[in-house]
Amino acid sequence: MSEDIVLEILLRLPVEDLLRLQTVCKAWSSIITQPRFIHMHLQRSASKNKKCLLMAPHIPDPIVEGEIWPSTFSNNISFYRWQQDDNDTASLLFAKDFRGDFTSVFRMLHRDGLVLFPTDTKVYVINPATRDVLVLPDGRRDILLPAYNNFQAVGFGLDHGNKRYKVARFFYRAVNLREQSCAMGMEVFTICGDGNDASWRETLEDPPYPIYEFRPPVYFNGSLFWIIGSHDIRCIPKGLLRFRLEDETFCVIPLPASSAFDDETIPNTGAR
Amino acid sequence: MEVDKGKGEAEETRKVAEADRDTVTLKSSDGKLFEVSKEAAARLSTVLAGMIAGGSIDDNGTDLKQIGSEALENVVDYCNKHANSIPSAALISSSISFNTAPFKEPEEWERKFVDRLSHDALFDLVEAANFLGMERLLDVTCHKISEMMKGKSPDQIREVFNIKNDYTKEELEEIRQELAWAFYDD
Repeated sequence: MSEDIVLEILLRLPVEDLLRLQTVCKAWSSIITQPRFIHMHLQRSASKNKKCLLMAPHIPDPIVEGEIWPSTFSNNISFYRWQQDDNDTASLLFAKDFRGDFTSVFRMLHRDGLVLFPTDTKVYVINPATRDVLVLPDGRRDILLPAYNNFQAVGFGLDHGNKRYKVARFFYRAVNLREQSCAMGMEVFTICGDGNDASWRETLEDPPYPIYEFRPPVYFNGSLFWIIGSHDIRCIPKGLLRFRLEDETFCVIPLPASSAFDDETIPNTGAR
Repeated sequence: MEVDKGKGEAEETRKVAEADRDTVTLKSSDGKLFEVSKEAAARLSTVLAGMIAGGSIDDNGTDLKQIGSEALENVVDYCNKHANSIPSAALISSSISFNTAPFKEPEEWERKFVDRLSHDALFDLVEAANFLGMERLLDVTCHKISEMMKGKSPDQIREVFNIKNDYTKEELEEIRQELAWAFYDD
């Protein structure tokens, strides 16, 4: 049977079967693991399946009274899938005990079945369907972060050019509060799936303005959008900072001039 | 019962088609002749459409040396049944582009059409559909084969597909340990 036909057949199988069928022979394994196949499989299942919710409750354990941000998250992380037909019950997809690897979990981001899972120690990329857990290496130390619970200002999305997922991490190089100036940087980690190029790389261009680190970026059409702003530095334009994942460039999208958009009331960004 | 009905319909369509002379004659690798509606052939097969448009259709039987008579009979049967069924939105969209078109489930009659086939007949038909550029039939046959594969062990799959295991024991063990959960339901 020709490879074309085998590919067409394998495209129609769920992930669990594909993982097992890697052991049929080497030719099948190379079909199943090639990026082109993975991309086609994703497109097919996205158009076929009903939209589903992926839920990963993160629970403080124990609860500490009076904390603004919980610092004692449970290290038992479970991913549940819920579809409309599932009669009010979500099914457990994957659970993992991180055994004390972190204390704080920050807001997770989801894209095409992948979950970006930032914590106060490491940043993980998790694929609940294949149960793959990728631990990203440490990025550049952010000089401000320890004071903020080691918060990681990360986002991720698909680079339309090379069809790879990229994790982007914003960081401060230096902050001078007296002069109200700062220098910032962005670093990128490309998820290859084959273990190569496993390191952060700084972008050639630096971000022109700081972003609200605690508001996760929104991914839309190959770009990440952050809200420009800082709690410490003034004289910043109001608007969105767009970071194109393909060429790793920045541009500013101004918000409509209105007194309604002050620092505290900038609406949360969202994409459909 | 379904088999008889299918063949009967094919016979009947063949007679009607001959009277209209709006058919093409196809010749299998073992020299058997089959008539198929020109309209259906052109609509369902990019290869036959190209041959009809290019005038390379032989009135005495266009040679299809790669396709045996059993598979060709199924192809012709499928085309004729298709000509009789109402074209649906699924077919129109899937004929635009196979890989990017939204996935459409096979229709009831298509499901029955492939359900009655043996393993060998199904595998020959998928090859024929691929060779003739019949996207919809390829979709239906691949869907059926994938259904058969669900939940099967790699050993069972190798047997059905007649594939030689080219992994060493050590390599297999390594992959199995990595993906233990996919092999043994936990």
